[in-house]
Amino acid sequence: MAVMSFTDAIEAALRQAMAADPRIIIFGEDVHMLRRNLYVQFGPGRVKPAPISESAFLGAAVGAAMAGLKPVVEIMMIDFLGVAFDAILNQASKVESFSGGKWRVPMVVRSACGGGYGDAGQHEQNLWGMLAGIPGLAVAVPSNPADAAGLMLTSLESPNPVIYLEHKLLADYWLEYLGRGNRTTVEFDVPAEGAAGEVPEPLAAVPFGQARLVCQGHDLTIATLGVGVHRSAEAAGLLNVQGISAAVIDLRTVSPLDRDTVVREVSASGALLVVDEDYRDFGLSGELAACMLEAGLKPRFARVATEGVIPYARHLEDAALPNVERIQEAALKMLS
Amino acid sequence: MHMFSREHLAASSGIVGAAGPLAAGFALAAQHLRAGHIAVAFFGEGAMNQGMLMESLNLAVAWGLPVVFVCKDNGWEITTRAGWVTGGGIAKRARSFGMCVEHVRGTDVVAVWKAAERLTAQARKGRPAFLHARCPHHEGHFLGDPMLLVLHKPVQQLTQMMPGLVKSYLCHPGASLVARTRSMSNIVKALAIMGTGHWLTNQDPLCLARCGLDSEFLERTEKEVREEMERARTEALEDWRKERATWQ
Ligand SMILES: Cc1ncc(C[n+]2csc(CCOP(=O)(O)OP(=O)(O)O)c2C)c(N)n1
Ligand SMILES: [Mg+2]
Repeated sequence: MAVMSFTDAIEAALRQAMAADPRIIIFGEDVHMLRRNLYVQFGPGRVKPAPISESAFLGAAVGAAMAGLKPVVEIMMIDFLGVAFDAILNQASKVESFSGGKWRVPMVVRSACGGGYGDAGQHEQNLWGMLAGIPGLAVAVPSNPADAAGLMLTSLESPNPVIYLEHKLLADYWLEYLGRGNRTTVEFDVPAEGAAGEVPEPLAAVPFGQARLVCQGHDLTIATLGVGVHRSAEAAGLLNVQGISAAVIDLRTVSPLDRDTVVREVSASGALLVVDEDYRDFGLSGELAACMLEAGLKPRFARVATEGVIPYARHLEDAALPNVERIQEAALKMLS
Repeated sequence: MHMFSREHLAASSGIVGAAGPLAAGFALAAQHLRAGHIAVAFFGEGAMNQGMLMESLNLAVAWGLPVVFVCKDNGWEITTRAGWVTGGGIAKRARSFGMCVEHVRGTDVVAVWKAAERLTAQARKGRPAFLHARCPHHEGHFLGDPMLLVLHKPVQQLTQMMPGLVKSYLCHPGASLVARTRSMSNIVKALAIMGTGHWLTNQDPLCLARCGLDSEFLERTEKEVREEMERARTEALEDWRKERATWQ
């Protein structure tokens, strides 16, 4: 085990995979600075800064993947996927099916997601629900350094397109660039176990579709991911003091979704609370509710998610994103 | 990033290039609803590589929209030099759409004013126009700009950056030594260019211009400006108080 930051863990996974597989290349805006260590080790041929032309270079990643490369293409923030959505919606996700399984698109879209540092509605979205709704895409959302490395390794081994989302509260450099900005006067609620932690040596791949039970509990099951894992674990600790024992499940990937683990836990607890930083409506939380019904369960159900456009003002933003109080309140209300 | 004023028909976006299509739409609305009015889009040279902006240039010409596109070219896109990722010239590109194009030094207020006068006149006749303005690159891209930190806090930032870079330079396997050296020198070059530009542009143009004015005039004008600002501030506060009273 080695202690690493979330960012360093991702870099370690990329370094290991790039050393083993010369077909892996990285491109995106500013990658010569953002990925400067890999830029120096693997040279400007394999780490390529791109113009602000997302639709061109994301589309090019699809083409390059179809023709034999394994691109790790960076969309700075998942919000910006909007300008290049066709490459994902109509190209990358369709090729395998259209070719009768003969042609696949092994590419990783690496992108920053999430809020909590004052950047509002065009820079802090998560969108994993919408993306996971597209057949043919995998969507990974690590919550800690070990998973960040492990899910990146699996993404790089995947024969199909993967959206890999790194939350900006966990990735120190994003937080510094965009939030703290070299100021000492601002504070953000960074979950310490998410931003740095133990990573197995050698790095261990984390399979897709395998949720992790963060803590056990029999009164209530909280299903969550990303920063939500840390907010939920904190809320579970506080609920415990109030005599409520809550299990927390880190889903790790939205697609494939580990329905079995959630069903198993909820059939024991009889109550499901989904904590989802993505939008509430038509997303992961509704999907999990449907999964419960399909499995023949009728649990008590509640969700804490982002309900509208994410505000800029810090206090409004904190209230809009799933926070410990909202989780606690929802749990108490649901069990009362 | 999120500034709007419906009364002034002024909007902004955090998405690079979004100003292009938006201005085309404002211009279309002007054609129908506000004869003689035009729309103006402001964006950086980096945005000129964004598909939707290039599409807007074509749309504007195809529909004869009353719009002026203003490209503020500071040569940088966060930490990327425009020249590294841009083919051809910006003004040439705009000209090839059949637009009326002018090129100015963005810090030359009079030149900008005169060019804008000519271009807005063109736009009013339904001939979209393009102003390419060379601008200095002040204070990096954002407060946390990593390159700016190298300039402001070199010791702290370089002790953070250098070990990783050196380790990567020596770590095997990887690219050839030539390729690694090229990467390293590109990073150093970018820092040097940013450093030089930063030093040059920090000779504040306002301070430079002040030097040319006589002190009595300066004192009088600055007093007037201060009073004007104070008045505006008081009025704004008063408005705000009134508005707040209506909430309660
Ligand atoms: C579609 C999209 N891609 C990327 C970004 C991130 N981003 C914000 S500003 C910027 C650079 C813009 O450069 P330029 O257009 O030259 O404007 P400048 O900041 O230099 O004025 C980038 C890449 C974004 N906001 N939107
Ligand atoms: Mg620029």
